[in-house]
Amino acid sequence: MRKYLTLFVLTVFFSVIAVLSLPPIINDGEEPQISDEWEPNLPVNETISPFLPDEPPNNEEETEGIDKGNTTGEEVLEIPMGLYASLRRYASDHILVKFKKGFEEEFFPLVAAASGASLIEPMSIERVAKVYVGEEQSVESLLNKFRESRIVEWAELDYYAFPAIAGVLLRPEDINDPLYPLQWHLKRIGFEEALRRNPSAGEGITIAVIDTGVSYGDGNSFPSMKAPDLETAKFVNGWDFVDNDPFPYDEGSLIPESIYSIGHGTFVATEIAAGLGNGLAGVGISPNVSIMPIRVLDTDGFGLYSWIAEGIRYAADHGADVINLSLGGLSSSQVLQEAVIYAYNKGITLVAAAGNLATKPEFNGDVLYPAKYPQVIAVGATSYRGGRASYSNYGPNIFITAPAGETSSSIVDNNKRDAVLSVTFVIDTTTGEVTYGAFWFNGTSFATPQVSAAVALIRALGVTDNEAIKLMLRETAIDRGLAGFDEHTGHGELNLERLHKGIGFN
Amino acid sequence: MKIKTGVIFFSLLASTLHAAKPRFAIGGHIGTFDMTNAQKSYNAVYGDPILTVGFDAEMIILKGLAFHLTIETGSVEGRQVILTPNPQPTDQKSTFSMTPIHLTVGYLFGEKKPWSFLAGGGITTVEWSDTNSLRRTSGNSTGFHVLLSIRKEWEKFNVGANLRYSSIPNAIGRGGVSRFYGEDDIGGLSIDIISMYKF
Repeated sequence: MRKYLTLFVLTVFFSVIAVLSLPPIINDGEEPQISDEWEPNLPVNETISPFLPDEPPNNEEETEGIDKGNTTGEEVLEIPMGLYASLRRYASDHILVKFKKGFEEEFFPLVAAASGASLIEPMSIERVAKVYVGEEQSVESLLNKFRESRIVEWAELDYYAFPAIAGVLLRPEDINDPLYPLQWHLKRIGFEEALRRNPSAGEGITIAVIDTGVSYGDGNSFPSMKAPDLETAKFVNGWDFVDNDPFPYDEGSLIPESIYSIGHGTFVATEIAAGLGNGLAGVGISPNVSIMPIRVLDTDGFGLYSWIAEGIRYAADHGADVINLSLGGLSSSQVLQEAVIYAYNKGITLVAAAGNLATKPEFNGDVLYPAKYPQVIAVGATSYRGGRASYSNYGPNIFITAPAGETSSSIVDNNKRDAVLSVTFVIDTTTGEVTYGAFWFNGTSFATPQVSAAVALIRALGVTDNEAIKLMLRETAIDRGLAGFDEHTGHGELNLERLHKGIGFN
Repeated sequence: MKIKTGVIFFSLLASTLHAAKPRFAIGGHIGTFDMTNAQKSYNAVYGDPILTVGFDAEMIILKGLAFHLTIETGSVEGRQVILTPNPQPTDQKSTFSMTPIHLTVGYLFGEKKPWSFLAGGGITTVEWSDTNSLRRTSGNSTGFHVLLSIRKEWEKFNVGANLRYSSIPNAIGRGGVSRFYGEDDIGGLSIDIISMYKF
């Protein structure tokens, strides 16, 4: 009996020691120890830079041995960073006003007369109107008058957004060549495996491309013609909020300080929905989606927030599932945020470009609006090397990145350029010549449609909850830069292969 | 100083136990564990209950004050999922493993009778890991449990069934399905068939 007693006392002794060495039963708020021990089968290139951001190879030493193609300097057109942002900040002829509930439009002439405004024009947004400045009046003074008014909920300047394009390689690739092998961004994000697992290719999902419009028409002449490689793409009715008509054709947007105008929205659309297996150019990520073209950026590349807000609400009211916003502006705005919330509350997924001002300290490199709103998935860009592209805006609001190249667009491997290849047009404004072809573009503008297309693919499988979509994107992204979430690359780089393999328990 | 205190403490404990005329039993069990506290997440990825095997030791002092120690282990395989309203499994394997240790203090009714009944509660600590194609997470988490046990008694051994409910909060929920559903507790309900040899 005594030896059993000794045995039991020893057992209890060691049990007590074990228990005392455990964490306390009362949780004191500390995180439990969680270890991420391995991350197998990463489909990434192995030359990922440990430095953030990636430096563009822009001097002779760094580019030695790299075929730069035409080295006259005319071929690669880098968009001067911050130029869009510097040129126009807000409309100088009107402000935006939201009147309080119960205030009727019939009183607008009286309000205009009392305030000195020349005109109050109702918008398609409930209780919101454009109030135009009167003679010898500035927008600032008009704004102050309305902000002090008791009949006004809010009044603000009508800011400009601009396309989030960083660079253009102006030489078109031969459109008749199958260019898929050059679309390295597709391989990088696991496109083929996603297609194998999800042959729906986005069937039944509508992506609103809120941009410069899209070359989607059935006409024979520019701009009402269809871009090559969009022949098999599906379109639903959209709207042109620049010209206020139902024909949101892409008329191009002028690249500041250049003679070229480019089809920004068309490029975005072909990235999403270019034909698959048609022998033309490259492929889109979700070729079976329907594109809803909505034009909000004018031929100078600028879009008033009021147009964008109306565009978002139009998309939300006309059946869009995903809204792609490859644009952004520096200022927050009521009209824009309310439109974003309106769409989000309807269950629509909004995806927007982070912007390309990271190299310009005067703009502090922070994420642009509307990407910065919490209802929007903010997309940054990575380069071929794998780190954040030098231009890509960053900060705590960055959610995810996708490969969109560096501004140099240098050849990185076997004729692949450090940019995204897809189909659009370039206009030489001196001659008016329009050239459709496959071009290399870079900027967060072209990372964004990759994420929009990914959302479409996942929505086509039945995932409709925005939080579920965000969770799946972040869980399956490939970590870039610093381990875990970081302000340069967010939760990592989009990966369709992992997205389609699903997520785990914890 | 610590060693001296420990020696004194366990000397007192041993003498107290000796005076209390303790009875001992050791044995083992097989059972199932259902993670009811993270039901949505667990069902989405794993679904099937975890089969467990374990070791049990028990000491009864005085008229029926019981101390029960259980060490068990088990694992389950499931599939990663696409987060549709009804999560769709993919072909990607996911594995959850756990090794809980339960220390129970309770009271044993009817020790000398053909049927006995134990009711008690205590602390549970779990060493767990969750492994899928995206990551491996692991942790050591602590909570509490309550235990009900019914046994058929013979002279030298008994056979019975244990029903244990445990709660292990703040263990999971940092990622994956459990983050989506906002579930962080890996506790639940276990049912064991237990047999012990009495000294």
